[in-house]
Amino acid sequence: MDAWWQCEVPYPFVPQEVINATDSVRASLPNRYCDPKVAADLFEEVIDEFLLCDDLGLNVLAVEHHAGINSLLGANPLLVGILARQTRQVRILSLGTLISLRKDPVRVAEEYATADVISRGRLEIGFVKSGGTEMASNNANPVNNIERYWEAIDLIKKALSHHDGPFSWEGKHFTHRHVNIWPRPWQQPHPRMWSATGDPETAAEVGRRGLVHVLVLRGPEGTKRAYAAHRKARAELGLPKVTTDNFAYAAFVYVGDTDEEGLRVGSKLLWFLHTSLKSAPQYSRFLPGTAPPEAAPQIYRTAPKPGPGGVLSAGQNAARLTSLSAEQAMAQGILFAGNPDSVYKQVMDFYDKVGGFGHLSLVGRSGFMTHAESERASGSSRTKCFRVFARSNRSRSTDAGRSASGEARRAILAVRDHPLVDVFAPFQGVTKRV
Amino acid sequence: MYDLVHFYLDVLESLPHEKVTLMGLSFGGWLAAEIAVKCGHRLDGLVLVDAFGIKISDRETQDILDVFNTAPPEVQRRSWHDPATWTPDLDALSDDELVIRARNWDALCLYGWNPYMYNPQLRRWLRRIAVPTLVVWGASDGIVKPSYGRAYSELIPGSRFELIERAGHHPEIEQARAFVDTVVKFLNR
Repeated sequence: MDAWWQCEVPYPFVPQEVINATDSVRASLPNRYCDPKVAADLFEEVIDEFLLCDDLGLNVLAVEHHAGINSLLGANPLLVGILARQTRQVRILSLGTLISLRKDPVRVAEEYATADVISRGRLEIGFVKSGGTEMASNNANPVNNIERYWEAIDLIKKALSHHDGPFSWEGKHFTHRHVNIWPRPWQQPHPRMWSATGDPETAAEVGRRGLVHVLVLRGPEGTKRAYAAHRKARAELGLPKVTTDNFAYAAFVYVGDTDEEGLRVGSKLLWFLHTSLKSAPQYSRFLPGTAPPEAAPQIYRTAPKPGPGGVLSAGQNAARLTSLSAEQAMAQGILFAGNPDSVYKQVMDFYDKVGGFGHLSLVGRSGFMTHAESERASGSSRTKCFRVFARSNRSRSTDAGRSASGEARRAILAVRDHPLVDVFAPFQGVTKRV
Repeated sequence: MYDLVHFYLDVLESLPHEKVTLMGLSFGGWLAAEIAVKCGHRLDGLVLVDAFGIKISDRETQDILDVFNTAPPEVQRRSWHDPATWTPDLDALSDDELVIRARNWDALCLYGWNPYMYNPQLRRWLRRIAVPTLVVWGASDGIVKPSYGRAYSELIPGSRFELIERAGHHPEIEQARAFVDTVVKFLNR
């Protein structure tokens, strides 16, 4: 299993009375509540944390969210560019430039190719469908968002992998007559691609395309269902079976010396759910295009019920998450926290419940968690996390080694080659990069 | 909008009447204005009611309330002269009614998201409308104000502007009698 560390650079320092009074902490909260000096400190801390990950050999993951206290990473490509240059060994996943918000996918392909070259082939490209508040923040039509999403992926993929001079694209949503990006990407034909989605329809398409499929805070049932849709869609087309390397899961993770410490500090991560998801109804359940019209009876009424098959819309999922306690979050596989043994057990229990995944994204800092808590130089939580997942690397490599499939063997080789596997020796006495 | 206009041109051509009076309300007013610009020879009159479709104010003043990015209670408050009476109770609507509402909402978004509820080119072609035109507006419309309606009317040669008192964005619902009287008077001109 590969581990990836992510921090969305939240801005929690808005007065509580302001948060209580507003109907949305995203999209419409005035930016006068964001002090640029505080923001600069946050960026410095978090970029240092990413660089510490690089020292430790823990892969890094940069997300994008717009105009809210949950994240200051509206300009994700800038962070990816910084990480491409400042890290030296780990892989960098951009999850991702929100492509259906951008007018020109070719420009996105240029940014990605450039970051791949600067990092000498360490970039991975993730695609995310975007949330309701981001439609408002970016003037992006929510009704045909998914169509734009897939078409943008097609165009980016072609722009990255086409090397024979200009080509023309006249699609439904994007037109570009003279596509010929320089530089071309380091990795051929293009960096590995990921997609984050929970709904079964998009999950099936992710499967057909063979992208790495990441589920974020979905819990065991939703995750298992999405992975199953991915596999089923491939089987229906007669495509080769995928290994667990095609599947990823993202959750809050904090490893303490003791269970008490792990849970106490890890609970701070739930600020993301309790406070930063607050989103006005016009950006969520009443936003056109976010759910099929047939779901309106479940969504429009004041006491909505889950749709057919118990599938929650993104907005309903958010509503469910805002009131979650730490214990509930742990029971649902949304928070893994405790001492190293406990966290290892929690992750592997979840792993078994969903049928395995090759990548775990550790949402390692959020809310009021401090830089020191995030870093923890001596007995660093990161180092401990790292040990935990190095152990799971070994465990899964062994399990997968019993598989006869050639693809699985290739996956194992990839894992064995990964720096995470030999984790302990290089990371003793690691100090923070200045 | 291009498709929608041509769909309605097909409808016009399929009608047994040589000429008809075309009425459009709100978003439909935009559609009616587009059709009247293109196909005036099939019309003998045009009625626009609290219509969208053109840009009047400066670039930093939105003419039409952004119903997608505004809190739903505020949208309702601005939609009606008497919101307490007319705001729909979503909990009381049937499943079918809610599905229709969601479909309409999706369609409105698809057609009108950007530029928001107007066609930058339409304004300059309104001069082509040569049929008698009535522009009707709810005096209390908070979605798109009567001043916008007056400006719209002034851009259509010879058009008449009428306010309906004690009505918001939907005078045909809130003051149905007065609305019908106004339209009938225009039809019997």
